Amino acid sequence: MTEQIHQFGGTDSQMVGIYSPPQRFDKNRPAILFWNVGINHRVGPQRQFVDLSRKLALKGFPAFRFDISGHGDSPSSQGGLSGEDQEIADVQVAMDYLQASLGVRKFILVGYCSSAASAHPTALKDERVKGLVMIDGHGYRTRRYWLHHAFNSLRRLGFYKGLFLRCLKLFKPKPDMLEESFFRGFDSREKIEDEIQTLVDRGVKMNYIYTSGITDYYNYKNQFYDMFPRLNPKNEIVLDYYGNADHLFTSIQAKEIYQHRIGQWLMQHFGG
Amino acid sequence: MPDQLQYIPSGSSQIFSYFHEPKGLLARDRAVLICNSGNQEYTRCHWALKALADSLSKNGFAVMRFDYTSTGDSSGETGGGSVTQWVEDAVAAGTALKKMAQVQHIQVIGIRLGAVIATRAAEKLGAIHQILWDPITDGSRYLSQLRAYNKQFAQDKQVAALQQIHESYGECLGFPINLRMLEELGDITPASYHTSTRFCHSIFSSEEQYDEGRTNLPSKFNCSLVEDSGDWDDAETARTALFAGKISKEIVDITERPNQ
Repeated sequence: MTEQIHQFGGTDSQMVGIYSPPQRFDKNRPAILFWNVGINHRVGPQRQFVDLSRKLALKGFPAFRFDISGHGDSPSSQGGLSGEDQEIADVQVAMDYLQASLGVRKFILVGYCSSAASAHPTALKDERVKGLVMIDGHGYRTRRYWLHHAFNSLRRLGFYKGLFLRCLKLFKPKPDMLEESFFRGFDSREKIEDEIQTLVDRGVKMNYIYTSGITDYYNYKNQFYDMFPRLNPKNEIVLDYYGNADHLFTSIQAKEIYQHRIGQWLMQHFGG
Repeated sequence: MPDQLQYIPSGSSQIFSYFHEPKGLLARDRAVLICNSGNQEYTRCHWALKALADSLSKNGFAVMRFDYTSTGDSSGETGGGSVTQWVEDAVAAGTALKKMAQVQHIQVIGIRLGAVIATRAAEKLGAIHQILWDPITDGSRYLSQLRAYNKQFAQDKQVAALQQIHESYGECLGFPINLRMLEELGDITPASYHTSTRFCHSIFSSEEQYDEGRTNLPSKFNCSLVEDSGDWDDAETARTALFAGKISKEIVDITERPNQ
């Protein structure tokens, strides 16, 4: 496969992206978009987006990984937008560019941790987004979360040590049993729930993926549905939980399993 | 002129390159090739090396960064490649750089594992100046450090199925390491830095590395200590971005007056 370097999005501050062309191009197939996660440039953690782009291209999906403004090799934008608004604008510019240059009209956004925070609002804003992969995205602690948390703490610390610490904590104020936000500072649970419902009703296919690397706010598979009790997922949401993987899928074995699973999900919903 | 991004052929590989056009008013007789640290440390260094390249470019130097085979955006599966292949990649990038910058002379800069690659490529490119940044001078110890990284990481994160590095294969923080790479890494010694390059500098971010480097590197290396970010033996730090403004400034200063 011969990948292509693209510079796009204006004359003074062009973003940098790499296009992995599919073996057989079909403009009715959605293009898959990846962009920066944390400190990583467009290649993603452990070069995951390179591997995944190439695998998906072999399955017939055009894939594009790029650096948003001020990240990786892309210069900062002079537009004066806030961080999240700029990120959303950049993703839309990438979609405009691919639509104009390739004729692709449908897109799937892969939001991973920090980029999930912009993938979700971009999908809400732009109807060209037909699919979302959200890796370690939204999370709100639930009652069952605290039960798992207590059980795991006891298991880790040893029963008696854990019991002692629990007793000490009885003298401290209790946390809310269903928290409205957590350290990454997402919007309110109800707002996100309504927005996910909007995406479901629009027919956006979603693959929510959680790892055991974010136990500060997510620690069992079906927590997603407990977080959003009013949500009617219809058949649009697939939830995967990797209880043996850290947040960055550092283990090569875990990485291969989750990437294979994304490939299956894509073929199931967009492979026709 | 805008910066130029392109793939450069290197054997059967296509390596991603980023050419920084010189932006200063001074016409320089040298262009600068930057050899990154490879795989698990590259994520950490990407921002710092781009910042370094931008600074050099603003000072009038044409600069090239590139990704080795099987790393970054270059061709090849993750975990492929070898030290020998990466030296060839550096030579291919340096040759392209000379042509694009229209200069006769090349200076190489190498960080960590990139230091040994820079030194070897310097010989083939006839480079007149090299600057090493926290060079790896003991391959066996580097491999032990990678093993310790993995062990610590697997314990801290309770990650299952993280294969430890053993004799023929391993993975380090999500990057596979093949047998040839393991062998070539293990072979790195201070003797790997014997060079005919005229001006040689090495910068160390910690006193411990400085003492060791000054003792072990060939005597033609002018060693200096610039205490700055580094902590290469800490698995937690391995996942954070490197901000090394002091070392970057020192490299720009040395590049401007290599014979002092």
